[in-house]
Amino acid sequence: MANANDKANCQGTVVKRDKFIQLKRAWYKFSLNKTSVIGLVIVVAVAICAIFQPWLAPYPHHAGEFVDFANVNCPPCKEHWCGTDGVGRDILSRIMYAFRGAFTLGLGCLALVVPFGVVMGLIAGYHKGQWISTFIMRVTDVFLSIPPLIMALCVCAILRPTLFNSLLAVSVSWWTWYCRLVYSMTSSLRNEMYVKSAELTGASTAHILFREILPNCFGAVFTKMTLDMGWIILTGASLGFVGMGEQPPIPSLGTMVADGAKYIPGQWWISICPALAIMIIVLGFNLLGDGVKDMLSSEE
Amino acid sequence: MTRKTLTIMAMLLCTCLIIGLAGCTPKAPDPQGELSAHDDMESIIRFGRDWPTYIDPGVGSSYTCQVAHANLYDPLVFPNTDGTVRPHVASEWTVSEDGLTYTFKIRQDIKFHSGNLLKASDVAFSMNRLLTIGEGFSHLYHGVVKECYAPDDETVVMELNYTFGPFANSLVRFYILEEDLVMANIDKSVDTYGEYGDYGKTWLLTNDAGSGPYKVKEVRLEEYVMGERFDDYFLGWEENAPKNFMVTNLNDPVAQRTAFANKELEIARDNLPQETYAEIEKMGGLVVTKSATGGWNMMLNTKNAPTDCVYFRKALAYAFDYDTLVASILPGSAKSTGPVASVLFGKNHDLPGYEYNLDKAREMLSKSKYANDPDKWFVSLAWCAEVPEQEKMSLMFQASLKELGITLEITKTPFSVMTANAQTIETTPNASIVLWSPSFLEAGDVFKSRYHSASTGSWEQMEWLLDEELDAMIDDALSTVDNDERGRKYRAIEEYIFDLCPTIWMCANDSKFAVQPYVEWPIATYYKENVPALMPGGFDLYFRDCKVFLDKK
Amino acid sequence: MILTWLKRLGTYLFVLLGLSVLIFIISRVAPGDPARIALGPRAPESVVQALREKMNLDKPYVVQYFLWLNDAIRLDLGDSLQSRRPVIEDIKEYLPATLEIVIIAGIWMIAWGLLLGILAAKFTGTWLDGVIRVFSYLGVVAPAFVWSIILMLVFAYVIPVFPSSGRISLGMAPPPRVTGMYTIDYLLAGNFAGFKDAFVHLILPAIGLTFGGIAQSARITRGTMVENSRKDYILAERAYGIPERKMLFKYLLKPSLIPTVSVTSLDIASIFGGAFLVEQLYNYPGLARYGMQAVLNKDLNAIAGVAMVLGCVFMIVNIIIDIIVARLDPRVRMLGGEN
Repeated sequence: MANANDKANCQGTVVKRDKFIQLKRAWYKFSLNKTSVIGLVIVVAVAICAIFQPWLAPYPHHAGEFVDFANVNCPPCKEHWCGTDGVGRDILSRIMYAFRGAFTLGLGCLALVVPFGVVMGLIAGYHKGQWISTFIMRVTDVFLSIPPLIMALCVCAILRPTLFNSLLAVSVSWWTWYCRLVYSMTSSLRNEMYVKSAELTGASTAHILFREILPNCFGAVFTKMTLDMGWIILTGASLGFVGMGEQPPIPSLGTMVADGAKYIPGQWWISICPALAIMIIVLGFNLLGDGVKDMLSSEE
Repeated sequence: MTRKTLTIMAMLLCTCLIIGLAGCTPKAPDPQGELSAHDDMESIIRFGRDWPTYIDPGVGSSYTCQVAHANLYDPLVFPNTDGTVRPHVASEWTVSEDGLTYTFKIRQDIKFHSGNLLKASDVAFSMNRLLTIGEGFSHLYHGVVKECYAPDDETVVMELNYTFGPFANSLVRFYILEEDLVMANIDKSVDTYGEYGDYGKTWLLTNDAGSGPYKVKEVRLEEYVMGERFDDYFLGWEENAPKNFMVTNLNDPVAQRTAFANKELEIARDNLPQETYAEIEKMGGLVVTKSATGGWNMMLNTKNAPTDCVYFRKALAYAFDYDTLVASILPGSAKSTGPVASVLFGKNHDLPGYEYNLDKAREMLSKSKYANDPDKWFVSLAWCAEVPEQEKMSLMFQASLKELGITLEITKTPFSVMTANAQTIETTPNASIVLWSPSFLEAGDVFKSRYHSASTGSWEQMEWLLDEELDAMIDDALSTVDNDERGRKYRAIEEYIFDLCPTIWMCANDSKFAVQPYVEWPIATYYKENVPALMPGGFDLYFRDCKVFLDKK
Repeated sequence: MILTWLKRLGTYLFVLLGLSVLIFIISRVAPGDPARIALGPRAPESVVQALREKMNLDKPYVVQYFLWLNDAIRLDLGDSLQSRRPVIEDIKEYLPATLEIVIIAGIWMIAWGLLLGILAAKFTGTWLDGVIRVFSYLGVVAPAFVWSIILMLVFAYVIPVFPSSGRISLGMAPPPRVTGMYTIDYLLAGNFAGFKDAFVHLILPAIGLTFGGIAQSARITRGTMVENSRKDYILAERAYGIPERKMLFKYLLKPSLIPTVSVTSLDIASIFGGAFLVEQLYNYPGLARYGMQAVLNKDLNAIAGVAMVLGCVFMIVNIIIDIIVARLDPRVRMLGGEN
């Protein structure tokens, strides 16, 4: 008995150490690619800006209810690195705060979309050929039959414009991508020997789906999530551009670009700075996503 | 097979690349030579603002509609720059002793665009059509006009239900349509208006039946209305008057400025960001300020908490920074002292106006029934998406309310949605910023359209006052024919409304316009020289009075 | 083969039906009273009520749906609240304009995407590859509206070489209507000046829309080509001494096209989506601008109509792409497409 316990413990540490070594190896592979490290650095830096905005930003309160008509449209200078906008707010501080919204949108959307899409995909893939599978996949077709941005615009139009609602609007059609991805993986995995043997031993469908098949999809889903963060932030910016995102005074990147667009080229910084901010954050996630993809594909 | 596919693909690729490369080689888009046939087109004035534009005077009422109506049709009487009216289609008129019967003499030398002469029966037809459809500016006459008929070709009689002091002034919004032409183009397949089918509404969307200085050349719904000079216009033409005009959907500030720079737009619209006017001035455009007949209103919903409490409303009024507004956001605008613009007939000049004073605001707040209930200190505010400057006002208000502990939720709302929300008390926000100008230039219109119970449910009154005593006062004043007495009554009403504080009268609407240096626009000249010139919306863009100098272009 | 395509047709029909339900739900749960919006604030209540009844707004949603579907099948999508004429008329007028932009943008996207992808693959590791890589990232990281604003500023404002709004210059008479696409109609009428004028109006919006797509397809083309070039069959062919150019196009490009073409449908989706903002910016009278106006003004019939039509157009695009993939990929051709 004691022996068995020891053995189990021992196995545990071995597994742990294995995991650790795996991680280390993965990191090594990841760090070989300089661009993906840059991506990681950008993402981490942006995340730090977003979280610690009240301490890092030069004028943190400019992201809230604040106007200062003595300092409107001030071009980039020592006091205001990105200049000020039409009511005298520091643009850099607002961009840093807007990163919060971008992250919330990206993470919130993924949190809604991934579990739902993955479960749907698992069910559809495992039961391929049965009516439930056909039904799920046809429904995804329905949702994909309208370009996602147009769908999001339609949904946004009928809801009150808030961050949460734009998150919902983006999610409405986004889950289908995860459903399709997992579907195609599951439908091939279900013919693997280990799934067949689990079936033979009488394991429940839930066990097979979540314990046998799901872990094998993690890599692909994780890669897609990293890449999708950028896309979701872009879509959110487009919604913000037409006024369907966060409402003032809370800054959102798309809204800032839209508002500033009225003042170019005279006051170019009002829109160009947030536009650059969008580019940087999306670039970060793209580089990171590519790195993750390379890392995981080379592991196989 | 494969080779063939490949060859085709390669060819396709090459074509695409060539097209792509051709596209990347910059070429002047508008070489003069090729368009020489359209030289006449160069004599044009283009203007873009709100959209859609309904050129049917029985339907449209927005600003661009007003512009289209004023240029395509003739009104019964024509506005002067001092707020009075002069004969136009009606050469003269008389009012009966009791003030209930108006008799108009109709000019006999006016030709419709079809070539037919304008008859008195056309006038009667137009009034009946307007009242039956019930859209456009019909509310000015709805309930007022009992009957309108033409006893002979030269005379039109209008009988009123009750005396209406400013009736003649209100007729600048009454345009004459050609009866025969409209009747010939009625869609009988629908029975919206009984025997009149659709009353010609479909046809009149893209055609005109008027006699105005311009006739419709082309209407592209969602895009533009283009008119060309009507050479037989009964008042004749001066040299260099524009041969064409165009009202477009070009509305966005960026697009307006770019088009102005490229000389694709002759008059830039009002209410662009101040920064844009500065840019335009740098390009050589002439920026003028139109003197106010209306003002910027923040309408407070007097039936929803917390703005249902008069002290709470006053607290809001004292928390608005009027000085910064007229100094920084709308430089050059005059402060408002009450609902009526200072140039209108019947203005009460003794009202003190509200001022920015947070201590007073706190005092008012403590008198309010919500004084001990800070949870209720939540005010929703809608601003009109088409007017970017309103966002600055909202943000400023939000910041100063925060000092009082009041939360202001700001929502950018397209005007059409604002209109929809104004229909019920529940959907009307606590506060809405709206730019409002009277249809005709008298305090009476302000009261009737803004504060009378009859106007609730529309964007013009989001206050929901529903005050019977006030209604009675307004009706009484409007039916007073004697000018002096009417003015006295107007002043009493304004004071009454002022004490209720249903609105934050932010400032007068001294809106800016910009015009190209090669265009002469009489109203702009007045504005430039600070000559007081008041024109109801639409008539300020009466293109017949303008000049386009092609050699200066 | 025929059976599989028939099966697919059934799928498409199902999707269309589902789409109609979805669109109906979206367009009918919007708050606000469309009849009141249509008639304006001053119309008497009786007139508004009449319109409400005419639009069936007083009936239960299920009944409304079937009435709507019944009309929609006969292409009667109701009247637009903004233009006050049948939605289908508006769509007929504006769809060709949007298709014109989307087609040009699509062609450029594929052409430039492939070209850059092939170049990058052929010169892997050189400076050219690096430049293309940077360009690809730039294209992906900014949305179409950002590119459009920049392009508009530079090429219509700072260096005014391209027009910034509309479909044709002032004073140009539109061509006699055949397809509704001005460039084609001008060509059919033999009016080359008109063609050029219509074409220059397309350039800026179309370029603004293509950036993302070009970057995407260049990246994928390069990726698959590089991956395939390491495969054994290429090594073997190279060993046989097959000329490099023949190998590049015949043996390397063709199989590498499959993933590129497959993602094209996504890129076209984003072109359609981007068009909603870009047409608005360029004041280009297309269906996307019309749709955006409808969304902003809560014009229910128009929203439903535009979404439905774009859904159908997009579906046709997908079918075409399916066919191309089937021609390129023998595996798909044999199996007839499982899903």
